[in-house]
Amino acid sequence: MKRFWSFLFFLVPVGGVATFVAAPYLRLWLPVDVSEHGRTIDDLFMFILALTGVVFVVTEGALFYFSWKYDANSNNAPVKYSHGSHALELVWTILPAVTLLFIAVFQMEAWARAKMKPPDIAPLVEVTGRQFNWDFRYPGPDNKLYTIDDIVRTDGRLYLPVNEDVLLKITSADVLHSFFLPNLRLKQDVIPGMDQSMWFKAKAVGGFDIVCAELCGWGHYKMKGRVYFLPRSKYEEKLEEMRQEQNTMRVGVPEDDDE
Amino acid sequence: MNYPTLNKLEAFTKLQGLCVLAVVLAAGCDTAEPPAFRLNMVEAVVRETPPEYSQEISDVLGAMFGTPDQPYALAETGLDQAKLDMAAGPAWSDKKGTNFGLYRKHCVHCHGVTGDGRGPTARFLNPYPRDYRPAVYKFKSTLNAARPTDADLHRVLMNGVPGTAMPSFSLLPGSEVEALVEYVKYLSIRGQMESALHMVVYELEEEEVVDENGEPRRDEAGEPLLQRTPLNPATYPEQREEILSYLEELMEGWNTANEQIIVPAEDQIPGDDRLPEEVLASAEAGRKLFYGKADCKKCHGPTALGDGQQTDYDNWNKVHHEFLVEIGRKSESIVKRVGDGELDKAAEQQLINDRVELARWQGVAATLYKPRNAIPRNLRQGIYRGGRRRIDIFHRVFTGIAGTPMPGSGPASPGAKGTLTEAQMWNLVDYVLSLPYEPPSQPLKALPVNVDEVL
Amino acid sequence: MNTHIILTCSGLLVRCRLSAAFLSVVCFLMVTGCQRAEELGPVAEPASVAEIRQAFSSGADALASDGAAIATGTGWATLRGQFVYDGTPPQMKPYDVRGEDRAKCSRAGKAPLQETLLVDPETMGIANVVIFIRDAARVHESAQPNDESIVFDQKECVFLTHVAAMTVGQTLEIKNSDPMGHNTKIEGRKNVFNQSVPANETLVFSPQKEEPVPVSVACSIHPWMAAYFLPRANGYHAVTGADGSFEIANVPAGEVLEFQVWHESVGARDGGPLVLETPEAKSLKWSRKGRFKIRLEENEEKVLNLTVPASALGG
Repeated sequence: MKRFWSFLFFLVPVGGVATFVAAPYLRLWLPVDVSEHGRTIDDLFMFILALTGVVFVVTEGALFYFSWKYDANSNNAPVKYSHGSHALELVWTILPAVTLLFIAVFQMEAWARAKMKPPDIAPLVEVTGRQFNWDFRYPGPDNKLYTIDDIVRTDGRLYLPVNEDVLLKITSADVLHSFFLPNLRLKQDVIPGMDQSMWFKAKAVGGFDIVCAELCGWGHYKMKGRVYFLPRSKYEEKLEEMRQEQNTMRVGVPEDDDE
Repeated sequence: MNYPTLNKLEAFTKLQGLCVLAVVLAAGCDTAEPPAFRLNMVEAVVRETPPEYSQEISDVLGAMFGTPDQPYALAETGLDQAKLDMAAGPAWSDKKGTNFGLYRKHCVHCHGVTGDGRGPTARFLNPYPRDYRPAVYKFKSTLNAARPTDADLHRVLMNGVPGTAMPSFSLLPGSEVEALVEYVKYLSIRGQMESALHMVVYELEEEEVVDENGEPRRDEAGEPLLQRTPLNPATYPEQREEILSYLEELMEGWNTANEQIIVPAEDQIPGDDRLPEEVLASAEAGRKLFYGKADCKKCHGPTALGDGQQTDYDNWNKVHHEFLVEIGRKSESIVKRVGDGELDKAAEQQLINDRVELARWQGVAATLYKPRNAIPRNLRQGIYRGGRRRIDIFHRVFTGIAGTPMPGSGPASPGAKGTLTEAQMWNLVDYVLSLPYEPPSQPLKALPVNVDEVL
Repeated sequence: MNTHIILTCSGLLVRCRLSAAFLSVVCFLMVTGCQRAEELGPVAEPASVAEIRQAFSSGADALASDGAAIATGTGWATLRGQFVYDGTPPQMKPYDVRGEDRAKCSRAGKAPLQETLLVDPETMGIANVVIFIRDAARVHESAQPNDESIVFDQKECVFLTHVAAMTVGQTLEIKNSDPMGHNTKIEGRKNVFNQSVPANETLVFSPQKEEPVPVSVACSIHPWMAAYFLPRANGYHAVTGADGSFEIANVPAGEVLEFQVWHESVGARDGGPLVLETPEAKSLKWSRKGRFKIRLEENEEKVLNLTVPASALGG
């Protein structure tokens, strides 16, 4: 079949665009955003998607056009060789370079806010990644970590206040991990021996996923958790409940139900 | 510790990649066999159970407990068959979204099909995953010698075991966690029963050989000929009774676990809301005990970094350690006898028998992992494997940690004499919690011994 | 399966023209390294499983006998004797004493010697052989459980009683005569104990159930320390003294008694049954499980002198 290959490769841009168009309807789009800054990230994402999308369609179209036009089976004209066009080379080198530079400058503020300018507050929780669980250490009533009143939770459930600036300290007990909160558009690699931080302000109450985004061993997939955002009063109740549980000095003895 | 047998065999395992490839080539078209429960061969050889009994022990266990795909529980075990069915078998979900095969989905790759702590990933973990078969659990609220309660097993599943590869399963639905607790108990009971069957075999007397008329056959001296009594509860009702009495006895341990919970005496519990100074004073008293009467420093080290006595083993590793040491001794003795040369006929036969036995032992050794020492816990990382609640630490101090070198300080059974009073144990809890913190990713190396300063 | 693999290997050899040496290595590894089914023990056979399960589920017809021996005789007798070593008495190695308590755990600057196999050079008697009746139909008053306590002391990091046999109901007074702390760890089938014993103090442990064989006693702080502990339901047990002699008095006469004999240096772990094949043992029908049967007349005082060849004790 004439021009078979050109049509086949044309399926790439068609399929690519169709995927993106259909994705939101198939619930394959970004998870719901509950953070204050997430909008900036999403906007950047959409902007870059649009930009690269246009470039993608144009280049794929050009590729299709050339492979269609110069299909070996449909062309008998002899091949013409050229040393190329200096001007064209300049244009398609400088144009992407400028575009990339623009993106780098354009996103700088978002990056700085997410990664470089922590709020001047004490960490609310220390998150420790270990093979294969996220462990959480709250400073307890004295607001100091690593003291006798710390509250340590290893049940994979992290409780945080909503509508407040939150600073997390993130460490690793063993290997590389990555603390990923998809609903807050934040992801922080964890390096053993280094303290990392993560900060955000959540806008909605509810429970959201915590996952590990750095292959850390065979049990990587097990490093799931949930983060729960609670109103301040509920959060404090929860903290108090956890504090009391940790101070438990009594043990429940189940009544025998003659099983 | 260096184990010559194991080193040689470890070299083999490094080439397992090749093996796997070759097996795939050879067996690629065969359908996979369903997973099966396996026997504890270390126990079989160490207890010197004759090899002819292995098949029979396996059959009895199969009759009493079924297979990994079709678990079965005798009524005497009190296990919930519905929960076992939910936890066993291959992983799948029905149309309503109920998940089945939970054990194989979440646990098997570490804890193994048989619950022997020898799943495919077990070799790469430190500590090795728990072998459920002896029914010894470290983190529980009951006395050292007692079984754990359901609530204890549930807690471990909810909180994981910090400091190990055991994650939390708190995000699973409650019914799934309960099914897993039941299945873990089932694997433990099966393991205990396997051990008991070795005792049943050990107790078996040889039986007389009878001819077709039911008359005993006799040798030249007129003595009746004896033969091995097979283990078969279907044909020997007395064996069935004995097996059931073992089962009853071990089930009593599980059924009375709730009665063995260590309940702290109310009058010795420190107040719930103490002032910081009171906690400090209590911790100070605990410090004196740590270096004094309770003698914690012997193992946990004068700096509490776990750098004291480190050469002992926990029960699970000790069995394997001693097994491998014995193999070394056996092969040494064989080498020595071969070197001596000139053996009489009996000695030669003995040598042949010993070599056959050694080969059998080495085959079993090939399936083992290198035994590891029980390193006392570094108390300054803020990691408490059994939980950080005050009651958790109190239970550890009170009764020690079952299966490990950690001894208890409280009475071993109700009414017995404890080493410390409960008030003193609470002081120790405060002291342990007040120890300075070292981050787990930057652990301190053992500090110089500062006994003089601390005493 | 093995032949299957070997056939495939040879097939590959022809087709792929791989080196024969390489393939034989692969084949060897497959057979030794991967084929571990045998080492993992056999798998249950469905037919026997079905039969046995049937027996368990239909098993309502409980037997009249609960396995206890039935009394047939009257009166009492005494069994005494001696275990005599046949061979050169072995030299015991010193304990592997390590750690900060090294100085306190030595005698005159030397580590104490192990007590695995103690032979008296004069009488050639073997110490610490345990002999007990497996199942007694009748128990004499003097062998009934009593509330005496047994002192189990430790000094210089050595358990002073190497094998402690006792009757259930008695208490074990775990004493520490050392200036530093110990812990005493008993890992029995039915008796589990692990408690710290501070310097110069005494704890008590009351075993609740009998053990079928002696079980190990250890100290985790000083892992070289080793002793054995055997609680029995009645007093028909004895541990041989330094001269290898023992006496079990007031055993039931007129009925067949089955004795179990145990020694620490037999077997892989925590001792094992002492198996004798000497003519005198043959006359007692000594079994491979270290058991023999004997029937004593009323008021008989039987003396059993048993020669133990070095090979029976792993020598």
